[in-house]
Amino acid sequence: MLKKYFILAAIIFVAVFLELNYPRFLSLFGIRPDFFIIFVVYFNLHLKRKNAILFSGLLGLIKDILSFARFGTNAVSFMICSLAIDKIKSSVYQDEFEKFLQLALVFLISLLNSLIFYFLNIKMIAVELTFVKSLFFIMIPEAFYTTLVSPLIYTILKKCDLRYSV
Amino acid sequence: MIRFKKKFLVPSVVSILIIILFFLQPAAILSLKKGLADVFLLPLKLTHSIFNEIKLIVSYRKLYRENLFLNKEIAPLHQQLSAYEEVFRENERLNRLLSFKSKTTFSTKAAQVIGRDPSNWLSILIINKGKRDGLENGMPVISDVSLVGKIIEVSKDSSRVLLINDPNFKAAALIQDSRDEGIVSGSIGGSCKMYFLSLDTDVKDNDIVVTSGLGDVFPKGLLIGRVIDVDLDSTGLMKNCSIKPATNLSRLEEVLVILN
Repeated sequence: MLKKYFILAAIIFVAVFLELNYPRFLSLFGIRPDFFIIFVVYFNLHLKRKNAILFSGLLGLIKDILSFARFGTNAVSFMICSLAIDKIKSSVYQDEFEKFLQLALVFLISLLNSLIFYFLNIKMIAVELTFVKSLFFIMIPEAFYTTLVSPLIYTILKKCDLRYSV
Repeated sequence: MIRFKKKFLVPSVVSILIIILFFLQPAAILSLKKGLADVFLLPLKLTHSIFNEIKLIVSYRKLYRENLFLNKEIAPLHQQLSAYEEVFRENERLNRLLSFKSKTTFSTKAAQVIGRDPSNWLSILIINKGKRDGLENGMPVISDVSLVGKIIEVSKDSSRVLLINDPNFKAAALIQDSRDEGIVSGSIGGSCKMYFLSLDTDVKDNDIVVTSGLGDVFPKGLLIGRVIDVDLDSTGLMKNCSIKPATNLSRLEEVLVILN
């Protein structure tokens, strides 16, 4: 059990490291994948419900500490995302479509997270970034890019095998 | 009812706490956030210094050869330097005679980039120098070539730098050749734009853009970049131009903070 928590802590550290020091070639037109969202989806698909929400919130808090954005934005957003994943999972999730649903979830949750971030930080976001511009130049590309990168991370995470053990 | 409470108690309490923190943003929490950021950035600083050491070891042979070559180059440069020193002093004396205030020299503090803001909405760098090193909000940050941004948040051992390609960044600038003035700001996609140029300006591609010194935030004459495109703004009353920053902002590893 302790080993599993250690793995979880290591995963969080890797997520933070990737988020702050992402490989530079990953940045396309100023957009990069949101590694935290990939981990939030992973937590919610593979951990017990309560722990998934808690760890997602924790990941959000860490992101808040390291980000310039309004404190609490990411924690609130990640917890809402966590609850959304739980709802979707319980209503449509089926093991045979696991890979496809995982990708679809990453896309949807990344988009949802961006929308929450936009509305909670609307005062901080530059006037030039209107909602439509943000949607087409930041939110959708980011969601698409995050979805594209996620299979690679999930292949690595599969080896950790935390399924419902934490 | 009791089962409901048990199931939702922890997430509810945590959510309420976060929502309270989010809306109130008390100063104590914000300073705690800065302190915690320093703690979280500590392993990153360590990892960076390890990577730097490894890079040095790997490039040892190349550096050795480079050092030999540069040593040979230095001798004639020393002679040139002493000649320039004479000219510099003469220039200083003449400036003093004319009561010119020297604005070209400034003291700087070198800092390493240890991270970037974890969001696609902001172009922000995290550097490894903070209050302890004399850094303050608003200080300009440059690379070895050009203006990079300004400091917007300082904690004890780290600071955040708002880059020139962030839409929130604004700097008074001018076209070096035509002396037309405008405002440089970031735009979507990681490039920069210069706004509010007059219609009769003869700005063209490849023109150099430098800071104008207006507003006293940035010293005059700092290179920003080159014009790559000129167009009319949406009202048709002004011209805008797209600028390619002189420094590749996605590959920054070291920066200089202008202290005075």
